[in-house]
Amino acid sequence: MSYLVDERKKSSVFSGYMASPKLKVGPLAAALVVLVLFALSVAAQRVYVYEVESDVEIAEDVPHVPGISGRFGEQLLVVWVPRDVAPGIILFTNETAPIPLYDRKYFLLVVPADARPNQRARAEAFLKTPDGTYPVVFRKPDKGILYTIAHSIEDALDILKQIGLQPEYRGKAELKRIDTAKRDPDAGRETDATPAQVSMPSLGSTFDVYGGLYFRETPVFTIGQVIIPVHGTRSACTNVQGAAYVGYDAKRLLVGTLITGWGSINADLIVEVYRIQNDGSCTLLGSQNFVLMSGTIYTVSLVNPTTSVNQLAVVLKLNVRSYSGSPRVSAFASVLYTRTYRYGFEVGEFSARTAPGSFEQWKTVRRIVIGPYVAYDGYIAQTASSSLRLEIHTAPVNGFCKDLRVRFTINGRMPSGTYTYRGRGGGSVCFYDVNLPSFWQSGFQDEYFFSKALGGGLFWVLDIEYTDGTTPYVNSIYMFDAEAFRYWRWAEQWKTTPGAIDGIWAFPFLSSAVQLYAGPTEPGEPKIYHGLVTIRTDTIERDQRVVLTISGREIFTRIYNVYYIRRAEIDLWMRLSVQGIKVIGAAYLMPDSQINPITAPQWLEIALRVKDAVDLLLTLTGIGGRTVGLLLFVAGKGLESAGGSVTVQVLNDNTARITYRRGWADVASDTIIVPLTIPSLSWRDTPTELKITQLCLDGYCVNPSLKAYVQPDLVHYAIPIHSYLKNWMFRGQVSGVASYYRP
Amino acid sequence: MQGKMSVFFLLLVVVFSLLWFVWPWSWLVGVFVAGLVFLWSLFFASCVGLRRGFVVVFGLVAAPLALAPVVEPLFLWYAVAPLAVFVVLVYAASKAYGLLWGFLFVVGSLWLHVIILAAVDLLTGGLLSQAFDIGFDVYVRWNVPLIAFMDVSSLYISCRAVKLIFAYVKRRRG
Repeated sequence: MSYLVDERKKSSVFSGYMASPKLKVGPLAAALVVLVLFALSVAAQRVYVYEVESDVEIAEDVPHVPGISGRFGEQLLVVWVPRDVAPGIILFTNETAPIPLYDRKYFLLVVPADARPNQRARAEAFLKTPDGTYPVVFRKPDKGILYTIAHSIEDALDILKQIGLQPEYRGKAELKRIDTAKRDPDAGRETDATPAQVSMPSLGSTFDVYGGLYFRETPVFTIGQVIIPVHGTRSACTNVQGAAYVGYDAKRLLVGTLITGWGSINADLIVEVYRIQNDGSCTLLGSQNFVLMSGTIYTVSLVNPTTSVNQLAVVLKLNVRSYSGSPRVSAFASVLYTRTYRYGFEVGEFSARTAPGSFEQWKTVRRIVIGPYVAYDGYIAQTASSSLRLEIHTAPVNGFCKDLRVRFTINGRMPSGTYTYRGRGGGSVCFYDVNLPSFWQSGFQDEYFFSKALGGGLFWVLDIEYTDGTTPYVNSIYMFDAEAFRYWRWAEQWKTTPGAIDGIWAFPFLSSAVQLYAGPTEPGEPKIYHGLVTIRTDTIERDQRVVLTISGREIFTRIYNVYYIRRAEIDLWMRLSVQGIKVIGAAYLMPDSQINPITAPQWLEIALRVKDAVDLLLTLTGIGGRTVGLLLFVAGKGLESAGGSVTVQVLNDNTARITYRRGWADVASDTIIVPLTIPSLSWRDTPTELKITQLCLDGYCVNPSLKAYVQPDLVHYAIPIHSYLKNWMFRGQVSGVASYYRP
Repeated sequence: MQGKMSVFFLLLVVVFSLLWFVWPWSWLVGVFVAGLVFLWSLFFASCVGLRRGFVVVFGLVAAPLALAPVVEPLFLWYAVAPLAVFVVLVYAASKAYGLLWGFLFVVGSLWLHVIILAAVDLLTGGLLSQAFDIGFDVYVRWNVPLIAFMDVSSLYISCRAVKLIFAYVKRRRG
């Protein structure tokens, strides 16, 4: 239960902080609010809540009961609740927590208490409840609500009360389809399993590409219309405030909402869809209203392949009817695009990794959580893979190693196979080499899309038990250097000619990224290491073709102590020669987005020169200098290590090692930017592949084999047709104007 | 009495250097450097005869090392501070032996301890050289306490030895 709450808190990482203003309500207005609340409570609709076992999974088509009328028309609300919650560990913090596991065939259905279904309607399924049987048909949701996620039945009832319903739990029910075989969306899921890393998509192919829109968390302190503004400083429309850019060829848009803070809110979510004109102004195509609920995903049908022949933008608004306390509304959106891979467009890679390490347990463990990793924008459908691998060490039962069954799920919601592993050893310990033999593409795709719509990330939940149903006593878990998730990312450039489109994207880049998690290798203060390395292969400066961004934090989760990255080593490989590679202007990225050069402070430089001069004198005294001695060691090495450094070393003709060392007097920043020049990249007229073969962040080393592509030299390529670009970026698309390259 | 005080400061240097194992890698390293310089100076001065005034003087010599991350020009002091410590030590020794013999006492002790350290380095297959080469490293921490222990213990021996030599020379002359 608490884990879900945590997930929701994490979601706020993606939304900007907006201080909630103090409630300033006069006595008259307060009385009005109370009156409205009273009126609503009187008028609240009674609904029955059934705990449903379904014979097939609910997907995009949701249940409707023909003939009934309620707040949601004929639609029945689907609320996912965990099938069970069991003790588990969040591996990278070594924290014990109750971990829920959802089942796509188990959910709550919300039916109006006075529902009078049209019994003569043609039913596709029947819902058998203690109160009678309802005929059910499946179609796209009438009221746009795809589903709601709750962390318990009580939580689900609270969510329903929050929107002014009077829910009553009526017990278990059964949803049985008439023709199951034809309609099971899970049928064939196992056949799209991918065993290993997916190769780079080929030119000319058309993909489904996923992106995200990000909105600011909005406090509600007024009745009436409230805009949920988009992140960033600029609206996608010159004439409409707070608009988020959707763009061309969007097939589907999902919006998700979370209500946090205390109190309740009765409101509609309004999604306005605009068409962006050539001059940057927008005209309204239409708007859709939804009942605002926490943990709920809505489908916005106005964004579809027909409307997105033009560039689209969306504005989110709330129409607040009443509220109490100080609720805050967070909104997120996932967009599914169609894209064709052509020359001039590029793809990058994202790799979410586990660093090798041993995690001591010495307790009964039923579930293991690995992650969460960010659902990085630009994921290309059908290109995900995973090579998750861990070794579980358990205490033998009566001297024997029983077979271990491991159920893999993404986010505890989307299954990705169940496999049985045979134990080795015996005596005092059993070893289970748990590796993921195959990866379910469509499950990952759905969970990526839905999780992103609620601002969430992606993590593995492994449910482990012996084949006889008992829970193992786990001594320790060893993680291998492996990929939790890996996928290709769409990296898109819009050209300025012809058509002068999309001039709103600032600082374009193509980037590949590796996200790294590591944890304590021995019992002790719980800590987690979180690293992110991106490789960008085009920048505004012509001679800085490759830029590495290296972030790292070691977080002590219990005492809230954080160390910023202190050491990094990155091996960069390319087919061309790396001779002559240089670091130019390495810098710290400060929390306020300012750049702070990593060069020794001026006085430190002078001091080092003075020290050279004094050293000779000190050598004669025997106190130090070129001889040994504590005093000069302390002063001399203290001086030398005060300033940070980024150095590059050519290991062989194709590999260079970039080494960063933090100086003890350096500024407080968790991110360094390392621009590199590589002479052989100049004058190239074809793309060049770069690969990070190994990276070590503060001693946590992985071999990601992460690829990025340097575009042809700008002199040949970019003048003058590509002076404006836009791209998929970490944390969504950010608006702005930038001249890409002007000779 | 002096011998006991030297042992006391010797232990203080060693104990303080052990803090390096948990010392945070931040501007506080400046404080560590200042602390070690201060204690080492007191230790060596205690061998020749420590007076209360020197505590203040060595404190003033060491303090800028801790403040350098805040006041950048003070980084220059890292280059000059060892020389300043040397001068104060010679001054301290000159109180007991006169300027020339005081100078020779300090230089003699230091050189003898350098020779002892070189011998130890040779015997341990370059362990000390390796420890010196590592310098201040955020992850490799064993070298600083080792250097501190070897340095002060060899300096203790060399200082005592030079003292005995000086006493012998004085007797022969006297």
